[in-house]
Amino acid sequence: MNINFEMETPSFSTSDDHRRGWWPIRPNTGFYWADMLWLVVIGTIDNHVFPSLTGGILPFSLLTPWLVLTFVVAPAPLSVSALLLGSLIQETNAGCPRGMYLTAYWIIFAIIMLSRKLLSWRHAVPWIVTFFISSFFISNFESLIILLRQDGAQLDFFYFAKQLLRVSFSVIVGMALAYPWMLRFKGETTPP
Amino acid sequence: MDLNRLRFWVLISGIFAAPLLFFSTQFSPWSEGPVSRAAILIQDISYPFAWVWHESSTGLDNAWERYINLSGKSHENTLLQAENLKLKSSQLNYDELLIELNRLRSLAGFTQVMTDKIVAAEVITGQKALPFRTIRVSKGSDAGVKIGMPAIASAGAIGRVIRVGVYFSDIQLLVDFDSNIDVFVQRNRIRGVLGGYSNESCRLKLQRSSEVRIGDTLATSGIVGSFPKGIPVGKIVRISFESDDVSQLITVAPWVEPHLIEEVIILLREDPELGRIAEAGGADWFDKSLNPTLNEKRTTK
Repeated sequence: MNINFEMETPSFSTSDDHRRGWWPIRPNTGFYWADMLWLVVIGTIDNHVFPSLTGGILPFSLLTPWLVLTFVVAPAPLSVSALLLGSLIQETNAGCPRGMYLTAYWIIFAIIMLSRKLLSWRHAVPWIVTFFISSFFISNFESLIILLRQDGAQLDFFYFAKQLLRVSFSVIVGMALAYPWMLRFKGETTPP
Repeated sequence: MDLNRLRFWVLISGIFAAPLLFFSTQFSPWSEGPVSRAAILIQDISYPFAWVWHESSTGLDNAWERYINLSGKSHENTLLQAENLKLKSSQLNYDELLIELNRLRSLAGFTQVMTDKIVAAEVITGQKALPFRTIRVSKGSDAGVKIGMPAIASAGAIGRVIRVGVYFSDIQLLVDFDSNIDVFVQRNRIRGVLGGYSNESCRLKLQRSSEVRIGDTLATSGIVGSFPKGIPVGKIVRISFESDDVSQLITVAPWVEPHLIEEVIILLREDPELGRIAEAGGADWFDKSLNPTLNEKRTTK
């Protein structure tokens, strides 16, 4: 694989032009505290608002697309902070083993960091594929933990149907969040 | 090595190292220790958001139920009045029976009655979609709740406190696959350890010779853990025999359905055995037992 390590860091995540005049609810606002605050709010919506609206049966997740978008468009230090905060929010809201989401999100973060300069984020397909693979990976990582801790009796048809719904929802939300970035990023010369 | 190349290799090795580190751990949830406290602080920060949502949504729900959705209330009222009359008459019998029971208990020398202090808490949220089954309730360390305390409802045991913030606690439900509780079969006092199995049921493994029946009630044994003796846990709904011809797998449906819990009672009682161990081994006995080198280092110092 021929990777150009000399490629510049995208200006697009630091440019003032991208911080102003937008819908304010988005990752990489340009203010570190705002990014962290949004993450806490997104985590609360995921773990408190959605379960009460859907009766807790449908596992909708906003956090995964939000984090994936952050990994793609934000500078690495902000992405790492978002990764730590996001995974801790998830893990301290459930009785899941500690480090489970941290590991899963870290792998997604590392792969996106390695590939984000190689893909054209101007088009929709890289976004769709990234959101799909990320959500699918999180869902499968959870299933793997269940399989390791007990037998697969829980992994029935309804479980997988719910996971499919969750992945689809994540892709739709992710595309809605990423749409302004697709419009803003016009050239192929400085890929993120 | 230039910085970009170094970053490349750090990321690549991290992809493989992270799962190895994770799978080598104990698979336990965040509960105690300095890192856990920092992690729980995040929840304390986000708690006001969750509280505002819970209060406003339940307020709206209550307003709808009390002032708008009144169809059928008259019929319900009539039924409740009839039920009230029945209950009043049975209350008379109950008072008599209670006096008789207390007299018999004192004659038999039984002294164990539940005298624990309790804290009633409201369920703020619960993740039913994920396989890790916990609920968050509205009382935390400010109300005296501590890790390990048992949580019950009117129908029976619910689970155990695994995480405590200042204003909230997380309760691991009996159906969570990390949950284990010492129980006995009420009918014949056979003991076993009941573990969480799926979203709606628990599992108990007993010797094949143990005589159990579908419909038998299980209750907490009170021998291990912080649960007092005799709290109903669930009933046996399925018995299957293992192919090894030695054991039988018993599926138990909890008396308290996890998705219907709205209020819980936390018994302010700590695990007496853990208390004794901590007294003898120090507050960090658990860390020491997991990491013997830590113990050696301290001794050499």
